[in-house]
Amino acid sequence: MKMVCEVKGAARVVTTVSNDPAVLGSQVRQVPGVGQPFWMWLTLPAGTLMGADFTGAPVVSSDAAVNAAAIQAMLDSPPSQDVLIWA
Amino acid sequence: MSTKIVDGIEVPLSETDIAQAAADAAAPMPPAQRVGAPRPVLAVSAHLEIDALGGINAVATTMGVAFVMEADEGVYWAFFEEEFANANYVVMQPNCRKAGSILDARVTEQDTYYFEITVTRRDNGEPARPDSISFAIIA
Repeated sequence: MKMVCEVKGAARVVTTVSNDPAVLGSQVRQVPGVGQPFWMWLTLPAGTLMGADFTGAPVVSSDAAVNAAAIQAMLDSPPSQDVLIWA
Repeated sequence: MSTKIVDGIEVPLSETDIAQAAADAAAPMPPAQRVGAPRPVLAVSAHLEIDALGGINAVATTMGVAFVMEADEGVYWAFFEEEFANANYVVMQPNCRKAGSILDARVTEQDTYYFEITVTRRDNGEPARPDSISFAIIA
């Protein structure tokens, strides 16, 4: 799966190796970090990401279960990828 | 006199038998195994394939990694599925490949929840984006 979040002030594509929302729900507390928004999709097109609009994106909670639920919700109903800006 | 049984018949030990028995007695004992001591295990392994645009795809045999990302050109962060108790785990020498180039990869940072690999070209030391990275962690 692919996660888009801000790292070092820039939107980045992060490849998730584990597909388990419970695992990811715990580890998103490290990246992007608690209080930070993120998007997640099963796949993304190849390309260089230039930016992303995080309006309406879930925000990482300190509670891993809350994050896991947010991730599962994005997998069940993927958000539009129009929020991504590609080079 | 010491004896041994050969084909069901008791015979005296030869000089060779006696010398062998003495050598066996003098041989060092195998090292004692500490009961309850932790044994190092393969905790994380990964083979990542990287496309020309920097997209990373994990091969199915990858385990113990939650996510990976290119933090900068030639700099990769791998986040573990579970945090280690401390950062004293051992990262085996990462292996990076790129067609037509010789690359060097080294671990430049390691913490309980992630570690960083930096990949450079051997000929000029410049950051490089490999076609693939493999690594393993023993803890």
